[in-house]
Amino acid sequence: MEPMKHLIRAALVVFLAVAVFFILRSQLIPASWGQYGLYRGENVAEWAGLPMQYADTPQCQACHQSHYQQWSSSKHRGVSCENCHGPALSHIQAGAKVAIDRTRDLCATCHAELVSRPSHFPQVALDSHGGQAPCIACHSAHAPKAVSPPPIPRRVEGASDCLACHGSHALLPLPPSHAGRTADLCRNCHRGSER
Amino acid sequence: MNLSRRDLIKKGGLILLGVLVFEGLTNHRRSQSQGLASPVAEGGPYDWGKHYWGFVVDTNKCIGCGRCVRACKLENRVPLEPEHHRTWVERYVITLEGEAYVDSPQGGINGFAGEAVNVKYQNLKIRNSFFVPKLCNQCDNPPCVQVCPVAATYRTKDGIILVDQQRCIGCRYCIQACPYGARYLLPSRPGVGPLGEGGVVDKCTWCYHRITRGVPPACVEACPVKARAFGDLRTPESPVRQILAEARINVLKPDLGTRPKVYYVGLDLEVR
Repeated sequence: MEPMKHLIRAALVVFLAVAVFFILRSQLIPASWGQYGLYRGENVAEWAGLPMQYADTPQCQACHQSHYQQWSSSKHRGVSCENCHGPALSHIQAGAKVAIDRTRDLCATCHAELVSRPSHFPQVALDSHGGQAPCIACHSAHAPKAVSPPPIPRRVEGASDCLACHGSHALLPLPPSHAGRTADLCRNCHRGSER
Repeated sequence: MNLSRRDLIKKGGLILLGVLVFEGLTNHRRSQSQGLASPVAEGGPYDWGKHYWGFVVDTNKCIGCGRCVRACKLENRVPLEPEHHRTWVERYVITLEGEAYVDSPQGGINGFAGEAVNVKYQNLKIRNSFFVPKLCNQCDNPPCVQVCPVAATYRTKDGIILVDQQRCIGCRYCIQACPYGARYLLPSRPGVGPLGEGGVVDKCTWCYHRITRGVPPACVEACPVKARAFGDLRTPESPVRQILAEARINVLKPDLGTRPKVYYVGLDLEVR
């Protein structure tokens, strides 16, 4: 067997090398590798199992029925609750407080007049609308068109004294919420064609 | 004993064959016997074999409010510093002479209103102007998957491209390869990555953790004007299929052969 010894040794070395390779491979390659393809199969479940931050809008209805009712038939019904109020899952699950930006800035992100916006989208030049007052002083966020100051009709736009027709004992009296207001305040909220 | 060359080749070949058979058998055994109960594998509550997801963006509707960008950041913990985006909104301003200006201030996260971002367009004679939201296209022929040297990124059965952040080595080859700029490097994130320090690649996953629970991605939920739509390409009643049935659609960079799955309605010539 003398002439064979070197061959047997060589074969043994090769076999050992191959064996070591496969042993290392079985240790280093993650268990779920190759389960679905050339990747670690467990990773799919890792991604799918991440926690959500935003809930589904219909969930708000369970507790906030009156707001939901008002909102769902308003012009803002396409705007999800969480769009303005932020992610709500921690609020639903753990009672975390939900914030809201009450300044003009939040409304401006959508409604400030921009040339790039589609022309049919309601936009307004904020510099000349409402002064510095917060938008929600006149426009309800949950019913922006329904609860907003009625505009001044074109034919009476030039009138100087609104209270001539709208004062007490007048043709079209003011609602109780307007008690005590003077004529110079009307145009702060009620717009004519100048918007 | 004297071994002839022929004998050596025959015997050596048999041994080699034996080793290969052994290897083949052990491989087969490993992947079958593990049978990991992944919730997104066949048989779990969500069956990824039953869905193939698609996305539609309607640039005619987008008002550039940027609430989608904000929602994505909050939903997916996308870093604010350095500034990265999984989805972003670009504004195109095209003058009468045909010159196009593109900007995306902080990805559009604060919208495009305000003096600071509009002052440069004040004196231009604008022909038209519009917004284009962008996100990962989850291509059917993804260059990012092709170039990964460690096979850390892959396509799921339901068509989403995911990154295995435990395997990613942060070489950034995929970030370079993506023609849409959809990927970015997570600079540091404790517990993530092979060294537990971040430095791995991240990207939009179409909110995989939401869609596998039957809820639309955060950006689709946030959009107030329905400029984004998401749905199952296999279900004719899905929002995406309904739009695809009626609209004229386009995709970004169709000439690159990536076969993206974000379909655009109203994609202007100027959009790259």
